[in-house]
Formats: sequence, C-alpha cells, structure tokens
Amino acid sequence: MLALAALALGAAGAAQAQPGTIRGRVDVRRESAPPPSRPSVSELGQPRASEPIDRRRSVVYLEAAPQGAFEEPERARVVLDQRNQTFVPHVLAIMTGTTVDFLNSDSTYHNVFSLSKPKRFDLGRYPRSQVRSVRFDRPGVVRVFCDIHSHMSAFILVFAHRYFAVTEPDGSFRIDRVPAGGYSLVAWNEGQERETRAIQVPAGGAVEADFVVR
Amino acid sequence: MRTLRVLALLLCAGPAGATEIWSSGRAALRIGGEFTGTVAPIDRGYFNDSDYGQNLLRQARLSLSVELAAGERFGLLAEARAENMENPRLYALYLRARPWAGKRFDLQAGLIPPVFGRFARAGYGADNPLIGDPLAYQYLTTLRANVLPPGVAELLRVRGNGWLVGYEGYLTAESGLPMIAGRRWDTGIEARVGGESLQVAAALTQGTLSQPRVRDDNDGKQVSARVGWRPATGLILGASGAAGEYLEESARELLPEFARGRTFRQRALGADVEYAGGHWVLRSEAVWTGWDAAAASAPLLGETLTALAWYVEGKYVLLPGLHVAARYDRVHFGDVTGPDGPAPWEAPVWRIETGLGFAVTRQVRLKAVYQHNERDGGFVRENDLIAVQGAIWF
Repeated sequence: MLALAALALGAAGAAQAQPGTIRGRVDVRRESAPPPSRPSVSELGQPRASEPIDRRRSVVYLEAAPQGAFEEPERARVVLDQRNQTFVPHVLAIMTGTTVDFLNSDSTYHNVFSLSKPKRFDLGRYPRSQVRSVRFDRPGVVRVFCDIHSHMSAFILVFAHRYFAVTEPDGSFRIDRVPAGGYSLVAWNEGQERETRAIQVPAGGAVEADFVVR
Repeated sequence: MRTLRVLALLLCAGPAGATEIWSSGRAALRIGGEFTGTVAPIDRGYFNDSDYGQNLLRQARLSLSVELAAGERFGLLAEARAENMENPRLYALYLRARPWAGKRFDLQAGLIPPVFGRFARAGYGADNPLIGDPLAYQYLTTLRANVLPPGVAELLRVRGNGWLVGYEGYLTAESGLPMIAGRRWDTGIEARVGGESLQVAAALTQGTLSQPRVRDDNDGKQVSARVGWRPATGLILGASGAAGEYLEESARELLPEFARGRTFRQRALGADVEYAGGHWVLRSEAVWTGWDAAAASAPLLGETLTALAWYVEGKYVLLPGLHVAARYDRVHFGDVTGPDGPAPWEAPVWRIETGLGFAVTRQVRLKAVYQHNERDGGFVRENDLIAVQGAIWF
C-alpha cells in the first residue's frame, strides 16, 4: 500500500516536473461592436473624448483544468484604472481570490458597478487618485460599468485555475506549466466564447493553437 | 400599430449592443433608444399633466436618438419620441460643431437642448431617480400665451386649473404654460465654452422657457445663459438666466389699442446645485420667473405674474442596482391685486415624491414611487398616487 502511494506521489511529481506549454495566436479579424453607448443628444457640446479601446485583446483559457489538492487560493492584487473615461485595461483575467483595485485617475467622479451574477457591486462615486477594491471569489465573467459615463465598460474574467492568458497586442499568447494531458482550449473575445478546440499538451513540450475570430 | 412594430424591432436589436449601425472612415451613424412604460391611477387633480397633453405618470414613451458624426468635430443629432402610441414628434434636431480643434468651444444649431437650469438636459429615464418631473419643469399654470385673461378677477377664478384653462369669453380651453417646458426644446443657436471646472453656455432661441417654438411668431427672441462651476469634485453649482417674448401674435391682436406696441416678456433666473459622493447624490434647484401680464384691460395689464419654484432631491444606492430617492418640491406664485385685495395669481402647489428603483440588468430598470400633491385651489386640492415604471434602453 505504502509502495503504491509512493508510486502515485512519484508519478505526480514527475508530471509536475514535466509540465507543458500552450502557445499560439488569436487573430481577431472582425472588429467587435462597441458596448452600448448612446448618442449624446442632451449635451451642450462635444462630450469629452475617451481613449481608444483595443477590442482585439482576447483571453485564452482551459475550459476545465487540474487543480492541486493543496493549491492555495490566489491573494494577488491588480489595478483596473479609470483613465480618460476609459477602463484600462479593457479586459482583465484573474484567479478567484484576487482583489482588483479600481483606481480613478480622472479629475471627475466615477462610479464603478457590476450587476453580473459572479459579483454584484457598486462602489459609489469617488474622486481622483482614490481606490476602491473588490475581491472576486466566484469564477465567471463580470461586466463592469460606470454609472456616470455610460460608454465606459470592461470585462473581468475570473478563473478557478491559473491556466489562462490575455493575448498580447499582436494576438500571441502563452500558457506555461500546464500538466500534460488532453484539454479543451477556449478563445474568448468581447464577451463571447469564439472557439473551443481540443488539444493535447505533451510532457515537457509545447502545443501550438491558433485561432481566427471572424 | 406602426409604433408597436418599430418598438418590437428595436427591442430585438437593442440588447445585442450594436449601436453603431454604419461607419465609413471617420464618419459613423449611431442609434440609441429607450422605451418607458408608466402606470398609475387616474390623476384627478392633473398634477402631472405636461404641456403636450400627457400625464407623466400614465404614459408609454418610445424615444429614438440618432447621431451622425463626421469626425471628432461635427455631428448631426436627432431624437424623436412617440408617447402613448401617437405619431412621433421631433424632440431634438441640430448640428453640432467644434470649429477649432483642441479648443473647448462648441456650437449647436437647430432644435437644441436648453442651457437654462439642470433638469431639462437630464433626458434619459435613468437620470431621474424618481418618475415625476420637478414642478418647475412640468406643472401647468393658468397663464396662456395665445389668449388674454379679461382681468384679475377672471385670472383668480381659474386658479388651480392649468391643465385646461378656459377664460370667460373664449370658446376654447387649453392647457396653460409651465414655468419651463422640460419636455420640449427650443429652436436656435447655442455656444458653450470652458473646461471641466468652469463652463459658460448661451443660446439665442425662437421661443421662451415656457413656450419653446420652432417658428417665431412674435418677432422676439429669447436670450438664455448658464454658468456652471465645479469648485470640487462632486460639487456643481449653476446659475442661469433667460429673457424672451412669450406672447403669441394671435393674442397680441386682442390687446387694447394702446398696448399693441408693447413687448411681453418672460424673464427667469435659476440656481442649481448638485453634490455627490459615495452612494449619495443630492440636488436642488430654484427657479424664479416673471411674465409681463397681457390682459384685455388694466389693472392686470402691466403687472408681472411671478412664480418661484424650488426642489430638493436625494438618491441613495442601498445595494448594487437598488436605490431609494425622494424629492420635496414647491411652487409659490406672486400676488396680484384682486377684488378682495392682494392674492397669489395662481394656487400654490407642493409635492413630495419618494420611491425606489431597481436595475434588473444594466439596461432594464424598474421604479416605483409614492407621490403626494397639494394645491391651494382647483377642483381637486390634493391627491396621493402610486406609480410604477419599467424602462429599457439601448
């Protein structure tokens, strides 16, 4: 029995020592529709311009992933800035347990809120340089808005595992330290799962997976 | 039926989020819209009637707004509204220009948003934490712009009946003027200059605050302006003024011979303040207005009929998507000398409205309010109303 247990531990150790890598590129060829934004009919002039948003950033993740029995929940903190009436970054991918600091870098108030099921919150109005924080404990997609500026929106993707990546500006991504095995790999862009693909991660090797989002 | 079909089409298309329906180079066409349905018992005191004959607590309203932008500096904006399934009417249609890139100077011309006060620019349903409009922007007085009261006694007789004013000697009865027509915009040109901390806006328009017009029919223009100052984040102070000729040409012809050359103006002053922080938003506005009284005979002729309205409003977000709100609102009217001595020319009114709002999703919102109205005149002097509103926007 002890020998069997030792064998199992040894096998697990060998698998952990030989994780693989998933890499590839998500080519977003169709510009996604902007989030609901209303014509500014009641303004007395041009509304303030916001920063351009890179909607080609995608998130690639494993649909289901192995989780270690003693894996500690994430205690990380990340910043989601509000700058020139734009959430920066527009897409954030985090693990459960992560705290997001919503910084206001504008000279006007912002009021961050979400009505998404994984996390409903309303941070109220707060001024420049102040931060309000939210901890995300449930996996899922959280859509974030500003109650004052209807054109502001962002996505926070909360995962129960660490096998995900946000694509670089050129569309490339890389997920390291993936235990060898077969998985479903998902490419997500602007609120939609665009494509799911079965992949086999080799021990100590890499698998390539390219996606085209049309 | 046509309106229903348009509504169904928009509701199906809206939640998909495709508001930019066309673009080419730096030009883009965007649409937005809102459907609001409000139900309430019959308002027997007509406290919530608007100057276009609708009760704001018993109304289905579909609005569709369009923006055709040509680069960053030019645009054509329009909004059409259909109330209670009637034919749509144009609410806004104007050209917007920023003549100098990098300079915060904007021009708008056409059927334009008002520069006076704060509330009339809060167009979307979500901007109003309650259902009813403030009295200054909606309540109908017994003054009319197209006919003349025969005298003081007759003006005092009709007190409290602004929803349908029929002076003695006229066959027709119509709604009277509000202090400010919050749901109708005026036609003209406006300019705005300034940044985030200080803004100045001024407009030259065809009608007046209480009588916006597409075509001028009395050769008198209105000048209006507002200065907005933000001394600290979350605090906005505003001061407004307006003056313009309100009497229609048809009423001018009824004036006594000696008074026909006179001008009959509406003048108004306003102050507004908004303070917001955390989960609170507090607002208050005060509006004073005076109309040069036009009457068939002295002594009413030559007097100024004044009104002072103010309200205080608060909103607090209890939970994500759930808010509570309340507004206390009053209108006082100035005295005229009647047969029994000085008396307010219109019946003073006050209102308290309180309620809550819930966002089912970001684009679907529900509100429920309780409203109590009291008036020192008219057939119905007080009433209590409960109203429920559902709104969807895209």
